Amino acid sequence: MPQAQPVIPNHVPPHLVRDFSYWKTPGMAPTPNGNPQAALSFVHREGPPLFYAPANTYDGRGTWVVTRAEDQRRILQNPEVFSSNRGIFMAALGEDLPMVPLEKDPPDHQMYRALLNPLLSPKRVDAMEAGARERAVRLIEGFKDKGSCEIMNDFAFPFAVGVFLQFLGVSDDRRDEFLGWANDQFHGTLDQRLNAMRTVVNFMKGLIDLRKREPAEDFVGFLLKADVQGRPLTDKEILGIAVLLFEAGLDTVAAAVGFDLYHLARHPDDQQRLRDDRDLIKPAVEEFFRAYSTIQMLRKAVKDYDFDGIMIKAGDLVSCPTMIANRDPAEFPDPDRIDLARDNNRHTAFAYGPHRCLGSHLARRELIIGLEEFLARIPTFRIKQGTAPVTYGGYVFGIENLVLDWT
Amino acid sequence: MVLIHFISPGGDRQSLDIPDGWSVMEGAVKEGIDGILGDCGGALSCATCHVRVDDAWRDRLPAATAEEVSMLEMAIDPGPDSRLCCQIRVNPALSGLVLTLPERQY
Repeated sequence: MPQAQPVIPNHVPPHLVRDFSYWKTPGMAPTPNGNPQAALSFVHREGPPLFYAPANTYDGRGTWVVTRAEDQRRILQNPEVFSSNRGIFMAALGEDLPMVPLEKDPPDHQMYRALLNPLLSPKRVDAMEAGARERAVRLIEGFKDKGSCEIMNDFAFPFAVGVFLQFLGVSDDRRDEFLGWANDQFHGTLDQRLNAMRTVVNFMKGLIDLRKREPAEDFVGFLLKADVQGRPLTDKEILGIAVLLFEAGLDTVAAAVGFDLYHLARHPDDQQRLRDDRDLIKPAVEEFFRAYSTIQMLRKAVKDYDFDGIMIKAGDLVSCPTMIANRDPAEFPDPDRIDLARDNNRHTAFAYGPHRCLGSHLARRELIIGLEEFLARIPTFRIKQGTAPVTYGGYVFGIENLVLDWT
Repeated sequence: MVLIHFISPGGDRQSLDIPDGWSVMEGAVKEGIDGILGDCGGALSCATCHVRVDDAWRDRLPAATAEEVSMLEMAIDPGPDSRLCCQIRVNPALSGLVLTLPERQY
């Protein structure tokens, strides 16, 4: 895809332009032993709270960046001005496939959420827990005796993909195939990503056709039977929902598992605290969500907006990075310190406003299960000598080559 | 200002004056009431401002909309007295409202 030439729109005051990018700012490109979330907390010290980054998307477009948690809430709570419908697939693949409900604005948004809530409710997550735990245990028991593993490929991704297949009602024998797409989709070259996106769309189309021929009580079966305001969902809506859940529920969970174990490998004192007090795992998972958030909320202004005297024009992209809001000193005392028992931890790792994550109950449970079972079965672990995990920024922050050792 | 009482699961009472016209969730978050998160800011997308309404008050609140009822499924162990307090708009008639906080919001 051609990179757009960075153009600074005329309405952007030059003193608000910063050389900032989720791909290129120091610590954002793949970095051995990095800490990409901490690498961005300088914005709170250097200001300004709202600035313009001329090339800050995967395809080189400029965005505003909102750094303060309070300001992000203001943006995210105003969908009439800051739309979530960015035409992600149209831009990437030339296909009109809105991801539902992420790319639907209120009031329609609410109707889709009401439909999907029961699929990811606490009760439903309770019902998925045994299967998810069994998947975690099977993976861990598979590499435990080797004394070492590469967390992302051996644990985090297969675990997240397995739980996702369980959710979809797709049999586990397709796991490796799915893993391959997920790898290409989230970590491949741009061409690999686009191909993987197409493959995922086609897979989901196939699943919809299959369920039309052979009805079953699973995710797609549920959507085929659904009624929204007196009509069934269209195939395009079902596809948009299925693809969104794939995009939103895999990479994020795997990255969180990776960052959490990376932290514990580098902070043996914290690791020991969790071993000594299993009740601390739950608040610790929240603190890791806060400190190692991985996503940004990207919105497109559909009307001009006066942001404390700064003009955001219709058409501008506005980025609200969670990893920056979650290290805002106005909200979190000593934000760069990881405090496993942090009090009143009102982080926005699951976003804010109408599009706040639908799958948070499941994601939290996956992280708790993952850490519980890992700590219960693997003795004290560290980064394997002679290896260096590589962290990176981008649209979703992540980590790879996380080789742990417990020999 | 309207006085609203919050009872923690352990039985402690915290009382707040919330401005007329605000939602209970906004008032609680502003004052840092532990146990009310309001992750979505009142958009009915998170169910992290779940409360139990004291029996004496249940019929005195406007009924929950279909959207709120649907969202209550996302709360932990909701009951017939459950509400999302982002949907409770404060007015003088609610002075003295008693709400019990759930054990947890997620």
